[in-house]
Amino acid sequence: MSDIKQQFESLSLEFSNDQNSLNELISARSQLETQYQENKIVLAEFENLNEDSKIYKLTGPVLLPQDFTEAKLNVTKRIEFIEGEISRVETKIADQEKKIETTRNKLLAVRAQLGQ
Amino acid sequence: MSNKIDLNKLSPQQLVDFRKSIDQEVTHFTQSLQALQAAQSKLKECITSIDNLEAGKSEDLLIPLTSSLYIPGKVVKRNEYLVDIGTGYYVEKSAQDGKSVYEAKIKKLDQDAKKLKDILVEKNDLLNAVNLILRRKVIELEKQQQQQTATS
Repeated sequence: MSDIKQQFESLSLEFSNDQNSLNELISARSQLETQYQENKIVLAEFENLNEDSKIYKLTGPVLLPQDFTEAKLNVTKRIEFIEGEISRVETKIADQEKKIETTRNKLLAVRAQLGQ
Repeated sequence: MSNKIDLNKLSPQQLVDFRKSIDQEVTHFTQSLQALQAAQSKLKECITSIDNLEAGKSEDLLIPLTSSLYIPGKVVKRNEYLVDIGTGYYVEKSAQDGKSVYEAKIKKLDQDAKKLKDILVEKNDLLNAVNLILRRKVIELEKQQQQQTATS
């Protein structure tokens, strides 16, 4: 009997741990979304500019002049990177959800045993 | 909503939990709305600043070093502004172009704020419905208890 109880406790601990890491993943996902949107706005702004536009990049406390093509390339690269990160986090979220589901099923099974 | 649940079938406890989660959502959306409005007023300030500077004939201005310390300065070049377009990039723009950047941003925020307001109205309706049903359930429960005490 105590064996099952112990199993139940360790499973519920695992369950809440899983849920915590899922929450962390979800907040990481929303942070990525914010960055993604911001970069997309910047890229849209670059579309309206041309080679002659003077562009500066804030590096620390100083504004450094930057080449238009270089700056645009940078932002495009960053968007690609963020897209990659988003899909990476999303697969992680899906995995974590599956994991939670299996843990939950195990937990329910053990609880049913406990109830008997 | 894809999975519609009949609120009448939920137990009071479930209803209370449901109400709690709606409450949290409403607070979250209200905060977002406030953040949007704050961002909008900041952008509007940028536009007024450009307008003021363009309208003013004098080249003198006071440059803030801190919020309470200023030094006199002079405008060297007119019609030339550095506009923050996000993620640390600044672009040199004329007054007109700079203003149109800010105006576009304000317009976008307006649209987002409108969407948020719609969601908030929807959530508030839902909250009212839940409250109504909850109250009815409580009254029913009280009636049942009274009947039980009366019969026993």
